[in-house]
Amino acid sequence: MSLTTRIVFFGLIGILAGILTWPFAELVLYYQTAFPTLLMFNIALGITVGLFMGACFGTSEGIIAASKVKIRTGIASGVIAGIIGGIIGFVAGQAALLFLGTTFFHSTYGFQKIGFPVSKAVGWATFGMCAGMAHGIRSRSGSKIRNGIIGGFIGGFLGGLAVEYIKVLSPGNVYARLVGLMVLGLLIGIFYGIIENKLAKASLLLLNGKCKDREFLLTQRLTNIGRSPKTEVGLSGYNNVADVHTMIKKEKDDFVLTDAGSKTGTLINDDKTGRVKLKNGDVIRIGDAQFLFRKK
Amino acid sequence: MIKKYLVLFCFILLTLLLFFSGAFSDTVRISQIDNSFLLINQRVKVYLGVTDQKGNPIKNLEKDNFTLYEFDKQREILSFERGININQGINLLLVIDNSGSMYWDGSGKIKNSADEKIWRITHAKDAVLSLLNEIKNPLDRVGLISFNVKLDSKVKMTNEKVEIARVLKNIKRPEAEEAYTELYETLYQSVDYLRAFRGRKVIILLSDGQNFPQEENPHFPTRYGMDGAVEYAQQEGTSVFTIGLSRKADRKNLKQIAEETGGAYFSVYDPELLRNLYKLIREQILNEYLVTYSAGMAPAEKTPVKVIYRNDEAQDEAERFYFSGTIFGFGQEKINYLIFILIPVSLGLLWVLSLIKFEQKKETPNLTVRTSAGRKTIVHSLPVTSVESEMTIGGSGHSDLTITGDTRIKMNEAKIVQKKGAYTITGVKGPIIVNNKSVRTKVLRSGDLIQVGNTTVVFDKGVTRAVNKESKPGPPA
Repeated sequence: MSLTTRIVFFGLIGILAGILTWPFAELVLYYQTAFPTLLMFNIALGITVGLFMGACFGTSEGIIAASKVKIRTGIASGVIAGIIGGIIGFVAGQAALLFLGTTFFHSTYGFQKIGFPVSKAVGWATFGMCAGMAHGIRSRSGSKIRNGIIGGFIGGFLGGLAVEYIKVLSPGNVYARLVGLMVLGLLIGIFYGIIENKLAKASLLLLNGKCKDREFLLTQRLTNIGRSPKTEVGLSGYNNVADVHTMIKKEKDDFVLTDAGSKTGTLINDDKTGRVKLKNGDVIRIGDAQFLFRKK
Repeated sequence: MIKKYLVLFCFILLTLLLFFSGAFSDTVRISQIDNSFLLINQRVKVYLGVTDQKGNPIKNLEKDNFTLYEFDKQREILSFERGININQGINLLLVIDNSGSMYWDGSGKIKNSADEKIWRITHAKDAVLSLLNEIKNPLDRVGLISFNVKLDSKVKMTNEKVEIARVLKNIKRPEAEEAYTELYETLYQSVDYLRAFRGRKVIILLSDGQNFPQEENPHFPTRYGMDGAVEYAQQEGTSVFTIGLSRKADRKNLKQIAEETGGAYFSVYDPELLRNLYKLIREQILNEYLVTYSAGMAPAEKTPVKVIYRNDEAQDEAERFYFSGTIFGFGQEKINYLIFILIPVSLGLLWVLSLIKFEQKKETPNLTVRTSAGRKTIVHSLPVTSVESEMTIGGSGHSDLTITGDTRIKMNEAKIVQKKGAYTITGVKGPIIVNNKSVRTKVLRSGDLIQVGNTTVVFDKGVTRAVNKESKPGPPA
C-alpha cells in the first residue's frame, strides 16, 4: 500500500467515524433540556462523540495492516482514549466558546457576524484537537500525539466553520452537523496520515512477498518487526520469521537495528548482523522478507 | 348619598395614587451579567441598579423585591448581596448636540446673536468641562461625540481628559444644511458604540431636546426613533443622563429618556445640582445589587434574563441577554429516527474496508524498475519457462530490459539467466551491485535490489505460499 492510499484510507475511516457519530450526537442534543447543568451536557456529548469517533479511528491501523487482532485492540484503546479526549475536548471547547462568544457578544453586530462562527469553530477545534490527541495517545507515540493535535485542530476548525456557514447559507438544514463531523473526521484522518508521513524520519519499504510495496513509517521510538500481530511491522505470511524477529530503535537521529535472537537472523546488505546503525539505502532481510531502509 | 361621595372619593384617591406611582416610579437596570461561572457551577450573576425618578439609587432593598426570569420561566434567586462596592472604572460617553438650535439662547427668543456667551452650546461646553474636573478615578474612561445631521468630532474612549477638552473647544457651528438634529439616532449609535466596552456604561447627553431629523438622511438608513434608542440602552444596561439646554418644554423627552434608562435629568441652568452628576453616577454603581441564580438549560445562543422589581406601588422590569451558545448548537426540533440507519450503514462500510487486503496477487516473477526520481516504476515480467532462458539489462535499445533516461547506465549492465526456476544475475562488464554489495554473480532471491547507474531494479520471484513455522525451512527463495 502506498502512502497516498494510506492517507485516503485514514480519510475514509475518518468520514465513516463522522457519519457513525452523528445520530448519537443528535440524540444527546435533542435532550439538552433534560440535563441539569451545562457541564453535564458537555460531558455527555464528549462521551458520545469520543466513544464512536475513538472506536472508528482505533480500527484504522488494524484495517491498514489487515490485522484482525490490531482492529480489536485498536477499538478497545480507541474507545477509552476517545472518551477521555472527548470529555476534556467538549468541556474545554465550551469554555473557549463561552469566553470568546461573550467577548464578541459585547462587540458591534457587524463584528458578531464573523465572531460567533469563529468562536464556534474554535470550540470545535478544541474538541477536535483532543479527539486527535486521543488518536495519538492510543498509539503511544509522541509524534503521533502531535500529529493528532494539529490534524484535529485544523479539522475541527474547518468542520465548525462548515457547520456555521451551512447554517447561514441554508437555514434549518438538519444535515449541517453531519457535514461538520464528516469534515472533522476526514481531516483528522488525512492530517494524521500526511503529517505522519512528513514527520517520519525513516521508513521501511517491503520489497517482496504478499505485502510488497507496503511502506512502514518509523515514527515510534521502538519498532518491532515480526510475525506476531502485536508488532508494529507485522510479517504474517512470510516464512522464517520469528514472532518478534528484529527491533529498530530510534536514537536521536539514528536508527539502530538489533536482532531479537531469531533463528534465521537478520541480514543487512546480505551480511548477518546482531546490531547495526542503519544507513539510507540499506537492504534488510528478515526471514524471507526483504526491506529497503530509507532515511530522509 | 354618602355612598356616592365615598365612591367618588375613592376614585379620586385611586387616580391620584396611579398618577403618583406613574410619576414617581423607580427604574431597574441590569448593568452587567456575568456568565463566567456558567460551565463550572451553572451560576449566573446579575448586577442590578435601582434608581428613583431623580436618578438616586434606592438602597436597602430586599431579595423579595426582585423576581428573575429566564425565557419567562422563573428562576430561584440563590443569593442576594448589597453594597458590593465594585472597583471598576466607568465608561462615560459625552454626546453633545451641535445643531442649529444650539446657537440660540436658552429661552429660544434670540436666534441670531453673535454673543457666544448666551449660546446653548457654550453652556454645554462649560458643563462638560466642569464634569471633567470631577472625574478623578484613573480607571474611568471618557469619550466624546458631537452630532447634528450626522455624528462627528469623535474622541474614542480614553483616559486623557485633555484630549476631550481640546476637541470640545474646536466644535464649530454647523453649516445651514447640516443643522438638523438627529437626536434619537445618535443616541442609538452611541449605545451601539459602547457595546464593545464591558463594565459600567453611562451616556451623558447634552441637548436642547429638539429632534429635527433630515428626511432620507443617508447617515442613518435605518431609523430606530426614541423608543428604539431607549430600548437599546435598557438592553445594554447603559444609563443615559440628560442635560437640558432649553428653558422650554423641549426637555420633556430628555426627562423621559433619563427616567426610563435609570439616569437622571439635569438643567444646565441649575449648576448646583449639575455638580452632583458625577457623584450620582458613582453612587448608583456603589449601590448596585448582586443577584445569583442557577441558569436553565434551554438551548439558545442568547439567553434573555428578565428582572421584575416591585416595591410598594412601584414596579419596573428590565431585560438583558447573555451568551449561552454551545459548540454543536441547538438540537433538532424533532428527531427523525431514519437518521439511525446511518449507524449500520457506516459500520457496514467500515467492515467492508477491513476486508480489503493490500496484498499483491501477482505470482509471476518480475523486475520492478525505479528511476532515480524514485517515483516512476516499470514492472517487467520475467519469462517462466522450463527451458533455460536469458535476458539482458542495460541502456541499449537491444537489451531485453532497456532503462532510459539514466546517463550513468552502460549499454550492457547485466544478464539474468533462468535455469530450473532459479535466477542468476551476472555482471556483463565487471562486478554488479546487488543489495549494496559488489558481486560478479549471484543467485537472486525475492526482494533483491539491483543497482545500475542511478536506477534500482527489484527482483521478485512472485508470491510463494507461506509456511507458518519458523523452524520449518521454507522452499529456497
